[in-house]
This record gives sequence, structure tokens and C-alpha cells, in this order.
Amino acid sequence: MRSFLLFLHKYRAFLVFILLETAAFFLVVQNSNYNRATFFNSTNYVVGSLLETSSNIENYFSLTRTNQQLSNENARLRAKYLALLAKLEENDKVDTISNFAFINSKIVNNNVFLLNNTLTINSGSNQGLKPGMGVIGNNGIVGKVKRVGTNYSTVVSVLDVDVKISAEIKNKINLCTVQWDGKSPEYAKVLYVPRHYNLAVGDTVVTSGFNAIYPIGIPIGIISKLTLPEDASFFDIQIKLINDFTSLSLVEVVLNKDLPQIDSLTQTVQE
Amino acid sequence: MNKDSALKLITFFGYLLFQVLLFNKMVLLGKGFAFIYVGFLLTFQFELGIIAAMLIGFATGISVDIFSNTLGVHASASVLLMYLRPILFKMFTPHGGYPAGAKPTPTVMGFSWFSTYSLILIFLHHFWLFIVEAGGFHLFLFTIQKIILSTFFTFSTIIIIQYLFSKKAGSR
Repeated sequence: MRSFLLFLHKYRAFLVFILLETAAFFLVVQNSNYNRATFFNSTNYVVGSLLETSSNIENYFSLTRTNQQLSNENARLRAKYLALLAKLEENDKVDTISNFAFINSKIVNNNVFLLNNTLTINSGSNQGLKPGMGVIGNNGIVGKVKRVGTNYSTVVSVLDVDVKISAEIKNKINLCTVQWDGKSPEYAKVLYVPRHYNLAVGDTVVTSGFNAIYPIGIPIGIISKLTLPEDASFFDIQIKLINDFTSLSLVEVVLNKDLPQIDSLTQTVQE
Repeated sequence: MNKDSALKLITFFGYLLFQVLLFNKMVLLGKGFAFIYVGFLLTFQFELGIIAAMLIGFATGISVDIFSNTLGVHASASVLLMYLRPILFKMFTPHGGYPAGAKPTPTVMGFSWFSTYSLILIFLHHFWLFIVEAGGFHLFLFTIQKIILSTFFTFSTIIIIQYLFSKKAGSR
């Protein structure tokens, strides 16, 4: 017993080191889970409001650019609206009612150079956010809500090496996967596209209908590099992401009204 | 609370605010980070007990983690740094030992002593940090570029901060 105590005393520094490292690694692992530990991250009120104040100041310097982005988006939406209006007049019966609603939010903190990047936005459970909801920016998809505090939430960015997005290539392939390779915040990869498809640089990659997070057809990126190695069975596709993640400031959270029903159905199937 | 630890606490918040609000957003070529809070950990006095040192490292790391949503990553690297610190002190003991109550800063120990000491520790800290962040050794080439660029970026920022804020030899 005595020698054991002596041993503990002699190696106490090393033992404390092991203890603290274990605690740290426990936190690292737990941090990658959803719905846990809502206190120790930027959804925390103190942390969130500090980051928000800082981003408020920063935003003054990018007002011109934000305005430009918004007016571009306005123009695009107006063109779409007019096209839809014309279609409506052709056949006066419309059978699709939109299942999606959108909640406006502002980004208060944004990482782009880590491997698992997150954003913090200034809306939370008070505004009706729940983990798992999709987030889109003014050009295309941004990510998925991870943790929800009362007034702040964190969002897993598309720029996360562990995130896979169900996608399609417009008019060509109706199911493929988009994943970020961790290198540049401007580019991502499209995986598992068999070599018999006829693709071209400039094709648009959008979200597919096989997910309940994003509405169908939200832009993700545009094919910027396309190679087909001789011995590979899949294309090697690089896309340029449609959102400039370094300059994002406003986003919308997608509220899918069917989500609870879809979730409960999936759960029943899994059970 | 005595004057010295009050000053240390203020320094801590100073480092933390500059780290999370300014330096977290300054990234060189998408790969070089400046983790200036390492400078706060490097310059604790020589006599600081190793267990207290590791606890301080853990607390500092966690504070930075909370703001960057990387819970545990900075904490584990900072604990490692504080654990290795006394070993480096032992390796680089100058003739006649260390002056009592002194701190390992460039103004006290000289530029070349401080740069050897801090470059080694910063490199080990960053190595550990980016490997933990990547979750292993895949993407190794990319990670090693990040480690090297960040080591130099952090080192130069820390040196500048040290010379800007140390009033006279022995203070801070």
C-alpha cells in the first residue's frame, strides 16, 4: 500500500497529465455528437453575444458587398417569380403547396479554415430552430443546424470533411454525393459518379430530392474540373462552391413542415 | 487576490479576446494560424508547479475552444505544452541556474534562449493540435504544412507581443 502511494506521489504529474488529456479527448469525441453539451460552445449566451457584437462591427465594412449580393438575389428571384406567374396563368390549377418556410438569421461567427468548420447564427429555440434543419445562404446551401441554444445556434458548414450531401447534377444524374476534401474553402468534390455519364465542366450540382433537410434543387456548386483516370470506375469531379463562405453574412434556416412526419416514419422503419 | 495574480487574470482576458475576436480570423494562405494564447502559457514563471501549470493550460485551452467550437482540441494541446515546459527548462538551464521569481520572456532570458525554447514548444503544441483536429494521420501532408506555417506565424506574433508589452527586464 505504502509503495503504491509512493508510486502515485512520484508519478503524480504524469498521472494528472493523463487525466487531463483523457478529459480533453472525451470532450473532442463528445463534441462531434449532436444534441449534447449545449453549454460549452458558442450557443452559450455570453459567448454568442460577444461574437455577435464583434461581427456587428465587422459587418459595417462589408455593407456594400452584402447589399450587392442581396440585390443580385432579388433580381434572380424576381425573374423566377415572373416565370412562375406566367406558368400559373397557363394552367390555373396548382397542386403543389410549399412545405418549406424560412427563418432569417445573421452569421455571428464563421470558420472556414478548420477541417470541421462551424458557423454560429443569431437565432435559436426562441425562433423555432431544431437540430438537423438545413441552412441556405443567398446563393445556395450552407449547412445543417447542429446545436440550438435559446438565441444562438451552431451550424455544421458544408466545409466539414465528415459531412456528405445528397446531390444531383442538373438534367444528368439524379443521385450523387458531395463532400468537402478539407483543402480550399472554395472547392468540394462530387463522389461516386460512374464513368458512363456524359458530363461537362460548367454543369450545375444541386441538392437532390432524397433528403428532408433541404428543398430539392438548391444550388451547391458548378463543376470546375473533370477528370476520368483510365483505371478508375468513378469520375474525379471538383466543383466550385456557389457560396463564397468567407464573405457570407446572412442565411436562412429551412423549416420543413413535413420533417416531424418523415422523422417518425424513418424511426418506425428503423425499429 | 494579490497584485500579480490579478494582473495575470487581466492578461488572460486580454489574450483570450485578441485570440478569438481577431487572430482566429487572420489565416495566412488558408493554412497559417496564430495561436497567440500560447504566449500566455509560455511566459509563466519558472517556479510554477507542474500540476497547477497543467490546470491553467487546460482552462486556457477550453476557453479558446468554446469560442471556436472545437471543444477539447486546444485544451489537450495546451495541457501537453504545460507538461513539457519543465523538461525544456531542465534542458536549457543557463550557467548559474535561473534567477529567482523570473519569467521565461525574451527580455529576461535573451532572444536566442527564448526563441529556441518557444519554437520547440510551439511546434509540439501545433503538431498535437492539428493531428487531434484532423483525427489522425490522414491528410498528413496538408496537416504538416499547416503545422509549419502556423508555428512560424504564432512565433513571430508572440515575439512582437513580448517586445511591445514588456516594460523593463523582469516585469511581466
